[in-house]
Amino acid sequence: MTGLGLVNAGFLAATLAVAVPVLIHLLFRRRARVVDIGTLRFLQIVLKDTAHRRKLRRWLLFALRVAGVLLLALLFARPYWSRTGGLDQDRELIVLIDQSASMDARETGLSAFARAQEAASKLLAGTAEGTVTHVAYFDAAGVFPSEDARGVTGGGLRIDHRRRPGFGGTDYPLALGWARDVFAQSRRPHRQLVLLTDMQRSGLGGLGLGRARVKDFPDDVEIELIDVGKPLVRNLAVDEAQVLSRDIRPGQPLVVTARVLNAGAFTVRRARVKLELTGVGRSYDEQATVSLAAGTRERVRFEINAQEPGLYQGYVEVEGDDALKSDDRRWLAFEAHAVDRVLLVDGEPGVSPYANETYYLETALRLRPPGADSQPGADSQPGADSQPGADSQPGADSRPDTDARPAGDPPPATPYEPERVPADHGENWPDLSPYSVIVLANVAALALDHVSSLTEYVATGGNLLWFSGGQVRHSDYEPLARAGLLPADLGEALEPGVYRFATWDKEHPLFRTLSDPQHGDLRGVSFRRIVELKPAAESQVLAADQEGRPLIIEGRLGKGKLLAAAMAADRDWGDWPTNRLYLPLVHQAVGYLSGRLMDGQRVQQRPAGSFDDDPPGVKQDGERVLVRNGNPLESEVERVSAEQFRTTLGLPRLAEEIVGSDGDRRPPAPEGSQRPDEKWRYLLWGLIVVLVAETFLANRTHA
Amino acid sequence: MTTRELVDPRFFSTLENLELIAHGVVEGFLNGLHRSPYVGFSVEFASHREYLHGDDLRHLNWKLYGRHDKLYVKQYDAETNLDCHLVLDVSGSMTTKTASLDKLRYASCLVAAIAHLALGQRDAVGLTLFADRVLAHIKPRAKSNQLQDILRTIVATVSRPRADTAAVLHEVAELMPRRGLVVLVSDLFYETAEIFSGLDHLRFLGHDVIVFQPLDPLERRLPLDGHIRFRELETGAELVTEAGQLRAAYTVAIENWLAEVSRGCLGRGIDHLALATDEPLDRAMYDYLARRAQNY
Repeated sequence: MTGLGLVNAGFLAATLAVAVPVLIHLLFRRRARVVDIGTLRFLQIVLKDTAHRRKLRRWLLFALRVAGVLLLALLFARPYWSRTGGLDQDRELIVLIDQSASMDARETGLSAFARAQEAASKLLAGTAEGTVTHVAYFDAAGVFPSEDARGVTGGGLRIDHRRRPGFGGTDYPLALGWARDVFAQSRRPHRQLVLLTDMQRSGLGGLGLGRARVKDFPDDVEIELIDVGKPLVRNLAVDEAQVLSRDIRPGQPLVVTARVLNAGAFTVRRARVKLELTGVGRSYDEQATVSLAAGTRERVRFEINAQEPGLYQGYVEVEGDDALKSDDRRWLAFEAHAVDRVLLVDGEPGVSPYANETYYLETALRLRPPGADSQPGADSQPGADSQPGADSQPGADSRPDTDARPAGDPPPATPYEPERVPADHGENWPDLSPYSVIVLANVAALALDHVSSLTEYVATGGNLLWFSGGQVRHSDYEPLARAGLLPADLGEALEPGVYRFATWDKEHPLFRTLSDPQHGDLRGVSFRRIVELKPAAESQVLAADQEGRPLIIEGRLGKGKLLAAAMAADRDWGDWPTNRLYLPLVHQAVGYLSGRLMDGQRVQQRPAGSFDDDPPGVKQDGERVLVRNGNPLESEVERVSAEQFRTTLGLPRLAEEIVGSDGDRRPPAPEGSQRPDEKWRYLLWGLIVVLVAETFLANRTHA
Repeated sequence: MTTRELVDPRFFSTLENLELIAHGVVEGFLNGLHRSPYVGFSVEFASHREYLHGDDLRHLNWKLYGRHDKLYVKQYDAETNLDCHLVLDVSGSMTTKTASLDKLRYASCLVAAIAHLALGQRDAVGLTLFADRVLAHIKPRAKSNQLQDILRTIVATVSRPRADTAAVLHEVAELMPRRGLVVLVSDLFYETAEIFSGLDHLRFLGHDVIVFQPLDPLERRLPLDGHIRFRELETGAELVTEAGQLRAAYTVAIENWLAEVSRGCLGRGIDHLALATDEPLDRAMYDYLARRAQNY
């Protein structure tokens, strides 16, 4: 690969000692003893006969003496050799260049990525012709081979210097796994991997879980680790931005919080943080200041006096002159909603609130389900949740996170406002138009005018959620069935038994989040009785029990959505309201009907891309709004040593180098420390041979 | 002191008087001999032998004939009319010194000793000193003060710094028209062809020639190690090298050259003896006497 390097370059000055044998050579000529002799005739005869041989010997002797001095100087300079030039048909080289966001860090001079590019260029230029070479860029999103630098050296391979680092995270195991797979297809005996990176610790990933180890990496591959990074003295970052509540309530502001990280080495005082937000024809510009000790995070709160539902988008930015600009700004977008009013029609009011048929429904809707803090639209991109530093795993981050929620703030309120009315056929049947969802719970029958208003309500975009119960009779539901307000033909209540969720539509928004076993196993939700439902035409069974009997059926009427549940909403037909999945199920059902779930999915988080075409920002993509941000782990610039890198990843011995601002590679250790690729042993043997040869020849060489 | 030590360079290098050295060397040398092979018919009686047919009747010992009734003839120390030409190289290269004395001093001692020995046997002895040219020449004589003249000439002559060629040997040869024994003492650091050309000239004139080639141990074996700047004595040229590294190749080169010189001399009927300045002179003396006895 590259050329000759020197551990102690200063010793090269000793090459001036070449003058010593020259002086000896000259002085020695003048120190001859004078002897008178009768004639030089015979000496001249002898000398003439051996003149050519003596001349050769003299020059050889001189060359040996000069070589001896040079070798001695080089010996102390301790050269190390990386293969350069020549023709090499046995070598295969992979050059992996880290293109994660942190490689854009630049305090002075070139960025780490530019240094890596420069070093890679010199590497290719110095690689022996005939070497099969692969140059690839990597980040957490994958490994991207460069088409311009793949093939056999000597064939015009080059580094694309227009390329910029991406915005993704770092994943060394991924990159090394790719290199392992490429080497697995190689038949060349000499295989070498050169990794140019800023040695970011977060790139090791999966610490403690054994996932970081690169399995089956060939032992015979020579791995060279080139450190192009530098410890960053200053770096402020916004590693999280989210809206606490996107529900618009009169007189209450929208709250946006941002978390600012001081990843530098010094305390930062009164750093300015600003929020710029636009939505529903208005712009909002808020500012705050924050002081952070080195290595700490602080949460900053912004209140936006927005009262209009709609899409809001913008960013939070921390200002300051630091090394890594790409993590100073964090984008966010969210859909602000007015609070959804839910009318609970109680078919079996009790003597106390606890005995009401809708007691559990009302209670559930007034509570906020677990995990709802991280709302759609908040900055919680996929993949980042499980990473150290995310709020959900404070214990995984060794750095102090001073607050996950601003002190004194009440938990965000539920987005629903339930209102209960008894189904008494009386005159208090309300105007249905302000409600997002109407819930009929164990309603025996409705008056015809109520059925009419309900039908009109659903047909014009309203939503109906129907629960069964002990008062429900097939015969009483004839008017609702005729009006199309039930998506199923109503049968009789089945005999008591155990009816449980067995199958459900995992892709349906109602069940999508509950399909993950980590969020709860729906199969644990059981009922003592259910009513028999036969799905009507164009209706869809969303869930069924172990015998295939429908439990939840979805249908449509006009612009409205209908959901019919075969179980009761209270504990009459089972204890499922006490199951921990009751609340999320109710919220999912009401949220689905009110459109909140669909709206939430409109704003989607995406990691910023590995290339310039997917930069951080908010982008409209058809119906969707895509929010892209860089990987927050890239702001954590803690570096890892080569030995930690090797042991963590389970790699064989490494050769480590650093790259200076000029792109030249240098040994990382202070001068004098041992390098595995030093060649001084060869020089020592060479010097011994030269000295022996010089002694031998000097005793046999004359004028 | 033993007689053997008298011919050892370590001994006579301590002496300043060349005559004393020559005398000591010769005495030491002769006392070490078991028998002098150099006898003949001269004025000084030496011994008797049985008469053989053809012997001169003047040398019959009649008294022994009367006493023992056998014929014996008297033998006397030889008295010849041999001309011994001593030719000494005094060029700069002869001043190389890493042993106890330099080559010139060693050669001078050798020349003096041979002169003393030859004059003792009634031979006429002459001397020629040369470097890039003939510097001194004494005609061969057997007079009583000839040795003094020779020794004085050797002592008085200063070595010449440079002698590039051996062509001077032709000049030397021209100075010795009468046939005799030429003793050339030189390191022969000249072109081989020029040396042989000069020697050929001497041989052409009918001389018997003995070549003594004194070499310094440095020049012979290069016994040095380390970074050495070699400076040539005659030219001052310098060469820096690791001596120890070259020793083997140098020794091979110089031995090859000496062998070439020896082969050249042998082919011309010339005695050639390479000497080291750290070895005794008796080997050279033997060689001289053997050669004299062989031909005279």
